[in-house]
Amino acid sequence: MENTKPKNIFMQGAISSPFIADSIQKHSIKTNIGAHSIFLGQVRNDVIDGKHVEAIEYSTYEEMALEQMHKIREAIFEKYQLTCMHVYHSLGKVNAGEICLFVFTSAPHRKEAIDACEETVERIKAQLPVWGKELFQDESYQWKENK
Amino acid sequence: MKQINVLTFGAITEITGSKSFLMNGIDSTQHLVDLLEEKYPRLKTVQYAIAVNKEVIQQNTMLDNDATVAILPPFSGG
Repeated sequence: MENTKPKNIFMQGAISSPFIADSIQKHSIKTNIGAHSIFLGQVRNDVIDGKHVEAIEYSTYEEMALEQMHKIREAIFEKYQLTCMHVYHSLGKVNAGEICLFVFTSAPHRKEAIDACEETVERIKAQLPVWGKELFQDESYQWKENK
Repeated sequence: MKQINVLTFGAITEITGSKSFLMNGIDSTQHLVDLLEEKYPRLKTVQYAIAVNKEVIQQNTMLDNDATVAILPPFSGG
């Protein structure tokens, strides 16, 4: 990997379908790609104590998250033969039903793309200093817990 | 005198009331934890990790002047 400056993975608000489609389209030029694996995290309309989650508001320790993501990226590229990897995570408010995480791995062969995508998602959820505040219809909230 | 930057996030900010503040005369992360837990007893009831200059630490760590110490609640990204 030539790029040493941490890539910015954060974007304000939900990740739109046109953005996702556009990312896929941009890769058609890379002729050695045989497989893409895509993970989309969507805000679930959870019911907690009879209250519906209307949205999740994401916040982050941005400098640290970008450095951590850079380390995750390097580890994944070391482990799997990938052509590329793109990660986007929402910041701010994302409504239930909208996409808040987009992980996209591309490789010559499908096994690497699929395995790398899965491992990247797990590492992101365990290691990135990002927090979600679950907002309910009655304007109360609770801090999300990853399982 | 040594000065450090303290950053808080999520549920921790709700307990301390401030996202970032300076503290003087703190030698180590254990010293910081003891002081903060005394000042904000609710901290003793919640889980958090500590990062020094953007690296999570697993044990007591000495602090240099101008270090940035972040108090991090459990991550819930994705």
